[in-house]
Amino acid sequence: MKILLLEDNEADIFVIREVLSQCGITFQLHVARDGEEALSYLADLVRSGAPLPDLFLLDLNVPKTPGLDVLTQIRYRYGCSPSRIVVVTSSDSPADRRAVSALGAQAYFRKPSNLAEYLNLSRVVIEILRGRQDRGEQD
Amino acid sequence: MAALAHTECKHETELQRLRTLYQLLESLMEASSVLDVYETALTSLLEATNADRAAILMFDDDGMMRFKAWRGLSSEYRQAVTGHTPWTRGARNVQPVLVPDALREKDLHPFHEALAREKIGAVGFIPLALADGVFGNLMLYYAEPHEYEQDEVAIAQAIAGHVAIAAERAHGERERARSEQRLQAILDNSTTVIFMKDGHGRFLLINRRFEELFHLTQAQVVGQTDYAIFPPEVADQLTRNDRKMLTSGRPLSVEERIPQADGVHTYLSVKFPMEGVDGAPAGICGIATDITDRKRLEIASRRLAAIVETSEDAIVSEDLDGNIANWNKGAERIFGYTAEEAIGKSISMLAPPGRREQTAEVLRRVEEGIRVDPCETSRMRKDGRMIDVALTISPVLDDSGRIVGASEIARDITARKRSEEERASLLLREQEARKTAELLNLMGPRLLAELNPEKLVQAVTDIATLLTGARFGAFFRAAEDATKDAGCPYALSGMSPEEFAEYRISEIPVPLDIGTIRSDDISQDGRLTQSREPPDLAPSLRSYLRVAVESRSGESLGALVFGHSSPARFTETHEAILAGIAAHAAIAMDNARLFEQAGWIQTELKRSNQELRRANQDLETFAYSASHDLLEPLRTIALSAEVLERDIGPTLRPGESAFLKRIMTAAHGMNSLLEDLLAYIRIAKSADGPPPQVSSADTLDRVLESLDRIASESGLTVTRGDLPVVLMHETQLVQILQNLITNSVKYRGKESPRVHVSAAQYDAWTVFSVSDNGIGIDPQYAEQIFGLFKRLHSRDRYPGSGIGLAICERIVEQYGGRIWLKKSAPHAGSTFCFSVPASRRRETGGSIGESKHAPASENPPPGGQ
Repeated sequence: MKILLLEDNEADIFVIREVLSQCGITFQLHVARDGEEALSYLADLVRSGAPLPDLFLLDLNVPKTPGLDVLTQIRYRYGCSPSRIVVVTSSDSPADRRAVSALGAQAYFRKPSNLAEYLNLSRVVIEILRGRQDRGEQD
Repeated sequence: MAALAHTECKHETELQRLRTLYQLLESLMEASSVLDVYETALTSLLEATNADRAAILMFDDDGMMRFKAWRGLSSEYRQAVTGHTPWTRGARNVQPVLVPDALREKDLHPFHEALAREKIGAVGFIPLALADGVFGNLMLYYAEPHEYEQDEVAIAQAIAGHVAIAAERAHGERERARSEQRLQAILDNSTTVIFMKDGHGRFLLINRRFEELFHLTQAQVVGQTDYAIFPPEVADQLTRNDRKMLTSGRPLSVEERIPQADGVHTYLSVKFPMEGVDGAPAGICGIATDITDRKRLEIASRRLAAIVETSEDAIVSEDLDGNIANWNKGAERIFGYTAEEAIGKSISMLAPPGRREQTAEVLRRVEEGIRVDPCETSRMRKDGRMIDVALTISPVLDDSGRIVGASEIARDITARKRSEEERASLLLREQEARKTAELLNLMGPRLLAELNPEKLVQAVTDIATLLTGARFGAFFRAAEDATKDAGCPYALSGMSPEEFAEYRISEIPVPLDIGTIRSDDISQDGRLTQSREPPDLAPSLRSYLRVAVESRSGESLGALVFGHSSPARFTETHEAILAGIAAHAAIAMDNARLFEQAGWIQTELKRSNQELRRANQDLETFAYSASHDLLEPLRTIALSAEVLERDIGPTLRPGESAFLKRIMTAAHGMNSLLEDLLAYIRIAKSADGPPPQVSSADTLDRVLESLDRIASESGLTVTRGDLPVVLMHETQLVQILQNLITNSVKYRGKESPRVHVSAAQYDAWTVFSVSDNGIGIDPQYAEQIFGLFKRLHSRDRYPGSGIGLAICERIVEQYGGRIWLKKSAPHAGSTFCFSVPASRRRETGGSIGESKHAPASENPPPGGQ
């Protein structure tokens, strides 16, 4: 299972990694710390003929290329289904919610300030991965 | 002896013939008709000649020779030879044609057969001729060829001569009778009276008209004189005229008056002499035409003419082209033209210059049969003077009722008009006064509505100048030096400032105690000329009027000043009017001043409002992004501390672990503070669009669901009254109820918390009440509690950011509502009330339990709901 995490906050990266490890899956996590890095990683994958990630965890408020632009490219340049995209952000702005909903994503997860709530993210991830396995989706 | 015998015989024959001729003459004398003549002639012919048959033929009018009388001829024969004649009609100097042997005569060849059958051997043609030539012939027929004797032919010719004369005479008489008949027919069918009298006045002939008129027959009249028919005085008149004509020998045309059954008739008699044989007058012919009707008309029209002629009014008639046909003395007097000058000219010469077409138009209307109403108009006299006339125009009709012209009766009303004008001018003055009053009344509201002071003052000045007829009008604002009007007026009407300066108004002193100054001639005004320092007045200024304008508070606002270069232009009325205007103007100016101030304040208010709004917006934007940006590192701190605490907590010493805990608590506290702050700021952003209808009962259900954990922990019970539908965003109603109920739980007393939610209608508002049995709030803090971050209790005892009520207040204020704490005794719980817009729709299926009264009548429920 290949996962791309777009996140610049080390604390969040730490916790998310923990969340993923709780999901009982073997995964290969690639962390991009800004939008540009995320896009070049994807471009490299395509160039090398490697499959695209099975799951995208995207923060919106990241350096360089903003998260929404990365999401746009994932959806329309790489043609990925919204069912394997989760937005993980501290933003609660209605504008961001509307934009994400319009571009398409499986879930909008607002980052909490405590660990317990953060671990709820694992439920979302497990649901997505299970659905993916059930459908036998592969890129 | 034989010779003698022959001679004797011949003699005898001759004698016989003479006798015959004589007898013929005798018979002819006795013959009563031409046919008798013919018969006699035939008898004589057969006696006096050797012919055994005879006939008389005549040319008819168609030129055909036809048998008129005959002896011993068959009809076949007559038919066969009819039309044959040796002569043409009218031929002169013709001789008898004697055919000794008819059957050998080649001229008669066409008739040989007829002659043979009739056994005629010889035939003689004797012409019947007079001055006009041949008109017939006598025929002698012999059975055998015949040698004609000279005597035989001579006597036949003699007989022919007699027959010719007799026939001619008969013909002439016939013609004469016919012509007389024709004449009589003409006479009898004539509608005029025709008669003939002899030299003694005896009637010879009258026509049928005569008979009818006087109920006499021709037989009764002929031979009688006028005296037998008419009364003596009429007969005298008629005979006198007859004699007069006979004496002069020339035709006489005379009017004769004859009494008839229906009254006296007038006849126009033409009498002329009837010539006798010698050319001397032998009688009288008369033709009399009844002209009674014409006469009557003539008299009537003469009478009319007399009336017209003596009328005071101008009576004129014109044809349809406008040419004057009649012109009476009145017209002469009124218009100055004599009849000779006027008749034949165009009627338009009477119209005032520039109104000539009007007369043509009037004529056109008359011609079309349109009634032209009497009117008053102007006319121009010959001498060019204009006069006022009352005009009556009527169509002139001919006998057949056709409109052939128009008549005009014009009465000179110049004098009357003048007095009318005087009355009118009085009336006008009165109307003007009334108009002024109306204008004043009208002006009042207009002035009051004018809120621009400059425009207002100008309008007042203009109106007042117009009303007074002043040469100029000016408004001076109250000046520092109240004893003079400033040189330059605030508003000026009637002339340019340069012109106005020449009137040197500022020279005129203004007494402080007198509101109004009116002077018929300021240059002669004793008040000025006799003062110690007579002002240097402009000579062009005579009439002067000044009215002070004072505000309601008695403050001098200025003065209206009017002037005129003629004296005595301003009357008491003007003064009164101006006083009225000044009062109106003062009020209007007060209004305008207030308005100006109010306008300034309003503008200022608007500006500061805008600034405030912008500042608020800036602040909100700042607060939003600040709290958001603060939140992110804080979250990292909190999260990191937690991870640290989990992973290495057990290895820490007690003091170290407490520090870590403090970090976490502080971070969480600040986090919730920032979250609340964000929520508070977001209120303005979230409630976009018109508020939807929301059921407050359903909303409460949802709130209680979300508070389920707290409720079960604290033992909360919530009761409710009837909850209506209100107009607001549900999330916001949720926030309010959540905050209030959470507070009730948070600030509960010793008992388990009880909350009652109810609602009541006040006009367009629904007021919710949330009461609890908690610790209550000291009334002195009733206002404070709604402040941002206001807390009445230590955080340790009652956790929370102190922002909940501020959020509630901000929400209800967004809907124009209010939130307040109901006064309550300490420890008796607290009741929060908040008002939000009521829905016009009632909650279906239930009444509003605590409703104080129905929604306001000014907001009736729309139909159909």
